[in-house]
Amino acid sequence: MVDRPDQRTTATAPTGHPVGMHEHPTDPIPTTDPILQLDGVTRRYGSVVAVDDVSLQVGTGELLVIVGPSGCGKTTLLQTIAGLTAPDAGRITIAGEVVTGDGPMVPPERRRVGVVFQDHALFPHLTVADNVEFGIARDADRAERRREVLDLVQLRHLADRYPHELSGGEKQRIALARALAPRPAVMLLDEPFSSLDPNLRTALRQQTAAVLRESGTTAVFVTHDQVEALSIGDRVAVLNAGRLEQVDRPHTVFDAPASRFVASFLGEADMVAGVVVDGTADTVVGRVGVIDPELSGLAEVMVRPHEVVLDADPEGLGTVLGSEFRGGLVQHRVRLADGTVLRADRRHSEQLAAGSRVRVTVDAGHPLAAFPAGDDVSSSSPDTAPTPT
Amino acid sequence: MSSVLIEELGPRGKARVRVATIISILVGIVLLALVVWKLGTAGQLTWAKWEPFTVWANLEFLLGGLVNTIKAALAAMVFSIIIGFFFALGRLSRNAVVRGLCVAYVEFFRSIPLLLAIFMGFFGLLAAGLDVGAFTSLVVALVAYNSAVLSEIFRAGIKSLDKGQTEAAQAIGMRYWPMMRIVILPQAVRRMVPAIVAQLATLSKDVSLGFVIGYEEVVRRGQGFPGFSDAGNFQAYVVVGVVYFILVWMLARLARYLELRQRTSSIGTGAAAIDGAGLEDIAALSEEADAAEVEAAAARGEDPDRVVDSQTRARGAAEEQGTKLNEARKGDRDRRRGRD
Repeated sequence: MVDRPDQRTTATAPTGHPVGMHEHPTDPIPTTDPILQLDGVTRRYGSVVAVDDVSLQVGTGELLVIVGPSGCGKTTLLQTIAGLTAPDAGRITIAGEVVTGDGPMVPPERRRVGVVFQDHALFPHLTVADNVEFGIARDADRAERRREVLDLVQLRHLADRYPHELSGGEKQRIALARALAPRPAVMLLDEPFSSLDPNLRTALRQQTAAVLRESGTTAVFVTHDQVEALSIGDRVAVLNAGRLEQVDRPHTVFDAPASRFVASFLGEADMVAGVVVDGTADTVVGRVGVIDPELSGLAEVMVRPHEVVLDADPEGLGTVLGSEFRGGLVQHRVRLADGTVLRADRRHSEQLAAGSRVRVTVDAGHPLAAFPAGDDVSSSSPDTAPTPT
Repeated sequence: MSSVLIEELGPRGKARVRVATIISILVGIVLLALVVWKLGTAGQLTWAKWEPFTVWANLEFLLGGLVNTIKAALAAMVFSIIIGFFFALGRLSRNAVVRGLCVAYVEFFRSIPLLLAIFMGFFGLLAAGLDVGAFTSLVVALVAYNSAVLSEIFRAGIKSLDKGQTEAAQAIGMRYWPMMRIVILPQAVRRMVPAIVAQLATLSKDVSLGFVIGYEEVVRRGQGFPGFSDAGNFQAYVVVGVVYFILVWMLARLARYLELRQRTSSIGTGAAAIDGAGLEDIAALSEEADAAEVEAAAARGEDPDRVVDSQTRARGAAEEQGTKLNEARKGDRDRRRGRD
């Protein structure tokens, strides 16, 4: 595996917490040499705005994950980059060439993009070798390149098989090899593992990320699975109802979400009321640091279940309402003195009975995200998000 | 292709069907006997009436008509397929003008009676000062009509492919013609073969309409059979009917053969060795191969040294057993549900 620190420093070095505190969290991380650039891309279907004024930059060799609920417009966004759909407005630049926006649209076959589809879309009447080879330029050594990409996905031994003779995972890897073969400037992956079962997904996403990094391929990966997004992305772009809510490193979008939507979409999140003074919030679960130094007054602080600590204490102000066994963890629901209900994870050997009194504190190891109180009418609440399909 | 969308009958339904079948057969036999008896009493079955068909010169006269029929049919088939193909592509074109022209052509010639097309071809060409003769004008009319019908079959075949195939081909940089040649047409043609052959059989029969413009095809030869008056051509028509039956039956066998070959080639290994076998054997073997393929896939799924877990592999392979198997399973399920 080739490590390419020169190109990936901005993306792969998580700089600890807090990240990007002093800039607006949706500002893109300055990328060296953006190979894909989107400016104000908008796509409407009738009155539904599927993609709403999206601007993005993807650096060379970067793996950007676009994540959002189903119907948020992420597949449409990918199709506009691939040229399979024309945006109503905006400009798309790939490797220095404006492919959409100025003059006639460059058709998909002349863009330097590779696409891995959700249903793999292999050519059923062609062998694996032919599937991979037909995308390679005639002047290149086709057989050599074919062997190269099949080695990359470790499936060289299947070259003479037909697609119907492959398993689901193998098909997706061949689809990846086929898309890699013509050396695209940008690789687009549209929920490539969503039809596979969970164990296979985990193995395959790590392998796919490794293949993309090893080949130095720039990629945009679309998924609705937040774990997939956080685990493989150099950066994560959270899309909601066609709009980008936040684009940042995985740790940042998780720990310092720019909106309530991002907070709750990327993992379980509860809000605790508090009063913020000088970067510290006083809450019913104790005194905690908050990320935004500008914030003051009434606020809601985001806590995630793994950060909430429960101590059995008959004098405690929290009451366990119930719990759910999740394998390694048991998630408890706890009502606080002010009526707020929090979720708290504990090891499954430390399950607390419903009705137990507990002392509730927060141990996050980093300042917490906080939002001004009464701000939940913002369009970013996941419950009110329209879901065009 | 052989998916049956009817519910299986219960025991009482089966009994009803059996009774109805027996009654129909009996009625059919009675009617046939009546016809034969009437023909016999009218003197139509006497050897003298049929004897001319044993004379070679007479047969030669009829077979000459058959040759003309085949000539016109083949010429019309070749041109109809080529022209129909381009009209199909035109109708799928991104260019609105091209698309509009193709739609107009196809819809017009698909809607008019073929007989009208033949008159229009014959008299139209004559009126234009082109006395090209019955053969050419008949072929022109047949091509005009059948290219329109075939283009719709081609278009349906191409449209029946998943959109992902086109998108995938474009995404790896294929231009239009390579995409058509390598990805789209090989798949589309396989699906279209039965429909195309059926239309070509119809075309062969439609050559008989050349009769009206004096083309000497087999039906006209039957009418003009030596020694028969206009009223007495019954025997000649029967013989021509048999000739036509054989012709179309052979086309149907060809279609069946092509269909099987397509099936066996698409189920991959194990079916390749049966090329030389008889048609019935191929049919039987291909069904066996389907079953063997499922077992093989399951066996492969248990292979422990593969990266992915065996359950998923088996599931994935089973998924790929094509619609036929799925349909069969679904049918089973539906049937079970129906019984409960």
